[in-house]
Amino acid sequence: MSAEACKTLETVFPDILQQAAFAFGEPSAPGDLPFPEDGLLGGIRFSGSSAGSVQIAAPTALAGELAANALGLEPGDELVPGHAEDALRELLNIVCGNLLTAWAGEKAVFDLTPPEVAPLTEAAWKDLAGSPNVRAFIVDGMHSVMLRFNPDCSGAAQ
Amino acid sequence: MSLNVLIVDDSATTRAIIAKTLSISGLPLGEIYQAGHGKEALEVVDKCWVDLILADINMPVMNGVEMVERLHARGVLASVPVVVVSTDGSAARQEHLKSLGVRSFVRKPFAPELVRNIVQDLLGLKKGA
Repeated sequence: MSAEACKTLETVFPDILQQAAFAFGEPSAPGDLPFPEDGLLGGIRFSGSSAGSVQIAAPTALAGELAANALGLEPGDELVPGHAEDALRELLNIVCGNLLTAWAGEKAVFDLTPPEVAPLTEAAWKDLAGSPNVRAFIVDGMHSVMLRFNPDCSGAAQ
Repeated sequence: MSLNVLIVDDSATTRAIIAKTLSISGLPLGEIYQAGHGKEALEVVDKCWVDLILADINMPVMNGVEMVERLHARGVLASVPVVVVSTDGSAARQEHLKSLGVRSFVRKPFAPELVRNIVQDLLGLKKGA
């Protein structure tokens, strides 16, 4: 079930990325992606018709680009401190909401926790890369991104 | 006539995007108030005149559903239109919010023109109307 659920990520994430931040994500193999030295790890949990979590690991530079793209900033414009992290949290929130609808349908009802973001460690990156529930992407040809969808299907009302 | 708008979202980035969308939409804007969660939004509504509320659902402290329920209980929704701008795609939740008086829903991510068109429709500002 989890593997099938994770396949939903393959379509949902690039679609959201394109619509929300005018960025492009190409699928990749998790093991092929280099660890971003300056990165962020975001997480969000959901409950309701099913419970589980979604995580994202991405370079801080990408989070900054997402914020700049979404806000329509011009080259040379400076981001307000915290906007990069905030943009990644919001991207994760949007991905999670759309992922759950694509996976469980519009009849399902979910409550999402506020997304949290922390510095990405190499151990967390390796943990993600080794997980079967992960999908990896190269964003805009240069940024390594991994997402993990962990639905706990026990008691799911699907 | 200028419109005072309240934007309620825990993401400062999203609040900025919505504010920018409104400002480039040609709407006759007055004040744009911002709140990071439902409780802050209720405080703004208590203190300031608001013509329109654009609100997220998933927020800390007080989520959008509870905020709408409280606005409904106070009778605010009869005079102030609320548009939910959220990633939530649940039909049941939308029905619940509609029954309380929420006027429209925008799914994130959204195109700026969608927000503009909905606001124009709600406030009777369509050109030629």
